[in-house]
Amino acid sequence: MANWLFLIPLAPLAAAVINFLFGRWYIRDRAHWLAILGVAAAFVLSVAAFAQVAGDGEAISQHLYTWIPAGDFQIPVALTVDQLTAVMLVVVTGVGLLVHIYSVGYMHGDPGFYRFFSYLPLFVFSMLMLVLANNYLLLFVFWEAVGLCSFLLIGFWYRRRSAAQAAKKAFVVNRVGDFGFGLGVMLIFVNLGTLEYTGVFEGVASLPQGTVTLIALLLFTGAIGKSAQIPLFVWLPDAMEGPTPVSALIHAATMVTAGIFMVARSWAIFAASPDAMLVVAIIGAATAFVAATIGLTQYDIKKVIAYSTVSQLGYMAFALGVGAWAAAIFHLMTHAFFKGLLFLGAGSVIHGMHDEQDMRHMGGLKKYMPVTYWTFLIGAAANAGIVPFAGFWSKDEIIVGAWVGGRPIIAIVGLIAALFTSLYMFRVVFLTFHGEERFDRHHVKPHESPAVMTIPLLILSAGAVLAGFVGFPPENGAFHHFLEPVFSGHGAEAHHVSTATTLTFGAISTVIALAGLGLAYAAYIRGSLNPATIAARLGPLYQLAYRRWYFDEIYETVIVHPLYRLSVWLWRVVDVQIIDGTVNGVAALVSFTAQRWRRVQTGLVANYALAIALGTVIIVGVYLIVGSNLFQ
Amino acid sequence: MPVVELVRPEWGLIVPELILLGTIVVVLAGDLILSRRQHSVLTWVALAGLALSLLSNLTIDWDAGRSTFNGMFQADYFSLFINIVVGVAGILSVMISSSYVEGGEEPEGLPWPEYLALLLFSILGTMLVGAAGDLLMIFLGIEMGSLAVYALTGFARRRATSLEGALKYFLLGAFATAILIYGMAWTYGATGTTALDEIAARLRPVITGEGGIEASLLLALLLLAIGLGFKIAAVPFHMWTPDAYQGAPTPVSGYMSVVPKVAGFAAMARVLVQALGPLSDSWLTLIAILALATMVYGNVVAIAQRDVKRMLGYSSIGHTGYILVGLAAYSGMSADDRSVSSVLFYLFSYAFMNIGAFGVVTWLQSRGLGVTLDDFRGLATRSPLAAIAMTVFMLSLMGLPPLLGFYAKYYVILAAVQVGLIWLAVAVVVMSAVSAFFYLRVVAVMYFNEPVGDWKTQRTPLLGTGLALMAIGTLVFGLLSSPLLDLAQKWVQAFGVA
Repeated sequence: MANWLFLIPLAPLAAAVINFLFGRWYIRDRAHWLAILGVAAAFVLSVAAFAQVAGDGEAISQHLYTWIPAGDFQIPVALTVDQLTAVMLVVVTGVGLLVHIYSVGYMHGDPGFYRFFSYLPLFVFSMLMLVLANNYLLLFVFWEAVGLCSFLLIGFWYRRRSAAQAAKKAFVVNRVGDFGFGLGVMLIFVNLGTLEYTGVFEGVASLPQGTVTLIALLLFTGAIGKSAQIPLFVWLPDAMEGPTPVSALIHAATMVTAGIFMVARSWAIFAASPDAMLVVAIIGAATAFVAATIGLTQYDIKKVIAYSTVSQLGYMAFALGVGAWAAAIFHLMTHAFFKGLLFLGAGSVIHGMHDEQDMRHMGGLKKYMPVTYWTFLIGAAANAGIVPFAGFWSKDEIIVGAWVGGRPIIAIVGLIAALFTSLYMFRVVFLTFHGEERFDRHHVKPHESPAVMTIPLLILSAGAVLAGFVGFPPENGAFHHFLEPVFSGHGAEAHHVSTATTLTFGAISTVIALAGLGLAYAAYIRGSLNPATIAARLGPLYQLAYRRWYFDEIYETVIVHPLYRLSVWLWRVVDVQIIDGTVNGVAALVSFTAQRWRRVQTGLVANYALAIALGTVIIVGVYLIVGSNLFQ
Repeated sequence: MPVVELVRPEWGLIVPELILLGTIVVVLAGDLILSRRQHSVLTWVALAGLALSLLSNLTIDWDAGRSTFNGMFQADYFSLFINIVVGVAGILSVMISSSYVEGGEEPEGLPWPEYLALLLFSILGTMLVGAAGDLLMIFLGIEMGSLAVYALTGFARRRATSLEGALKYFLLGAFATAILIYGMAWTYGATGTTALDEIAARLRPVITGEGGIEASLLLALLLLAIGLGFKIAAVPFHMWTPDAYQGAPTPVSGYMSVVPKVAGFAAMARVLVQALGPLSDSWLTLIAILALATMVYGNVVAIAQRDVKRMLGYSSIGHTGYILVGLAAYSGMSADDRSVSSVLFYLFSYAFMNIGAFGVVTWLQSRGLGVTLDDFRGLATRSPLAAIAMTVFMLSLMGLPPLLGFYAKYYVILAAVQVGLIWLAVAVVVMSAVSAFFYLRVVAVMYFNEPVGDWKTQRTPLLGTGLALMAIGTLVFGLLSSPLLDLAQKWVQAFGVA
């Protein structure tokens, strides 16, 4: 037992509630203090929880209360911290805290300042509860809460039409996944009679193969939505409409990782179904590849990073699909550092360029914002998988995991995607910070961001450099040993990876990453390759990537448009004519009755007394007639 | 001189009541000593007294379920829960009353110390009903509570509607009391005792025999049920309610919609379940039918009201119907019988949301507005927090999850379903849907209409705090319902004669 665990989610929740209730009138532009304090407290406590779990090697938990006691359906609200949750806690609160601090500078002067600093800790709270839950229902509730918070934050500037649209899109697309997830949770309860993790994982072995596969696939549907996999990834790039710190939070710590976490948490279910694992692996690899190709062709700096996130999530998903659980979580953690860094860096660029996001109007910013440049470069190197930055270690391990897990094709797809990753990452760096200045120097005066924004960048870049070493040596690092208790038992099998394999793949990865770097250098610095000619030569292939593989267009014609027309029909005919007609009819009838009955209330005491007396006589009379032999 | 040997009562068991009595004495003395300007001190005296009385419940060993004063007074889990409900309701009522009574919303103002004393007397009476072990104690407690509330209803003595409401309430109340005491007399006649446990003990052998019950017992039972039916405003004994609620000073309406109802239901549980439990076959049908009639009438007529106080009056009749469903689900004294516990939990929930709703009406009145639906127009732009609070109360009364009112209804429905009263459970759900019409109408006018009438800025910190507490309580206790329900479930142990 650890009776203080509840303080971890409570601190950000309290900050969110207080800011929301009193922010508008009393706290106003001081709202960030409470929010930062709350998340900082959560961070310190998370580290304490992490230390305790690491020290004892055992999960700690706290039972808060029984939420729904209804016969056999007992849902406790209990918090559990095992090794997996401990990692998530530190990542969520750590990155969350830096994003909070950064936002003070970024959101300075926004009229919705207090609102922002009540949504942001609420987001952190929801994510914390999501990882702390000890059963699927609680997980589901906060799964939805995370969705709601993302809706609020993506649509933060709700007066802007595109922001409102993006928020709606994120919410609706996520609902599709959530629906599957909800069905999966119900299916678990129907089959096993419990929703608590321990009970579920023990019971999985007794279920028929088909049922387990169905449960696993339904759960994964939720992850497809939340963690932006094919075919539901379309919401994530649009979510750029939110303020940039929100993007950082969504991409690095709080939202997209939820799906990966959930699958890792449910690994016992997935491990019991090879078919489901194959589906996860294929979708993950396809996502990694498709998103990387799209990332090559975009010009909006935030869009490129967004597709990079989708691609990296693909890596995590296929790591899960090949059973490299620890590697997936490892990549999740390193990714949190470098992706948070890249987004905050992009935000710093946008801030310094007066809200310019198109890389075609940047260039040569290196000398104007040196801190942003160097930290961004570290983030890019980590993302591209250059030795020895964080991304190299975790990505390499995923690819090795796929290879030794008996899925060589997926490993090769991963390697190809890695080439693209390196290429698009350095494309961003070179287009933004190097080369000639393509902006109008009379109107735009690039400047470095204030310390409150650059310090989080520095801290995150330290993480992006160092985080990889907790997983060193590969497959055998401190990180793996730490997570070992979570991913063992329930028929887990460990692959033996020979040193030769590790070294070979390390070398291949390095060559590929450097090749990407070289290509980008040739194309955007030396000019020996002309990107425009290559694009023209590739023709339809380039168009396919540039148009984002036409996912949005297909959804628009196949789903959105017919649905819209159906909705209009439902509204005009079914709703207005049939339903409203019935409801109004009933209401009119009730209202009519009410008016009649109202007359009974005459206001005369004598009448009232008569009613009581009559009531007494009737009740006694009926009882005597029915219940006695008086009148028989 | 020889010392006369008297049976020493266990004073320790009635500490909460004694503290309240002491508070009343202090308040009355304060009325004599303090000048009019200093009267607001008494607010804190009353709040402290209530809080202390509530806290002193901790000093009693409820597990023992002991009784004292020759079995007249029982300190068991049932009386503990009643103490909690009325103690909380008392604190909340004082909080919403002070600005109204002291602030002169009524012509010529109202004397605050007297108001407080009457309020506390009524609470004391209700606590006595909760702890009663004898029909006579029930009678005493109910009368003590009722007389104080009659006076409170007519407290705005310069306003004709207040006097009218009070007079009607008093006359009809006296009539109902006569029926109640007549029922008690018949009970004594049929069983030869007035002690609740003793009545049950003497009835049990009667029931096990062949054939129905004696006519005299049946009459006693019906008269008791009808007399108490008046106190809780069950149809057709409800006619006093709308007039009294509308006429009384608004905070009094809030108070009398809760505490006298608690007294009535506590008495019903003590009399029907603890004493007449063996006759449950005879009264369950009656209670179920009263429940149906009450909830249908209350909810349907509430639709036609434009006066919010009157609307809440009818809505409180509707809620009486829901609570009766819990009682009708009584199935004998088994450990998982949820009947009385669902009633207790409902009463607790009801205290928060209904006093809260009347509190918001008081809030409007102290800002120069009236009590009709039109006065609620555009409240959201004038005072967003008050509008949020009212929304919470309305949605909770309607029974929307995860608010307290939802759980209250949920447990009542659960109790009904457990004993197979499906039709009654369905009726509760249908009537909740009907009630959405008038509850949501308030919410709609607050948010979608433009404000009308003059708004005068006014500071009412205590009222505001009270409203905040109730709104938060409505949210929080909903999520924390299960420990409360566990406590309520101990009624089985309290009545444990099975």
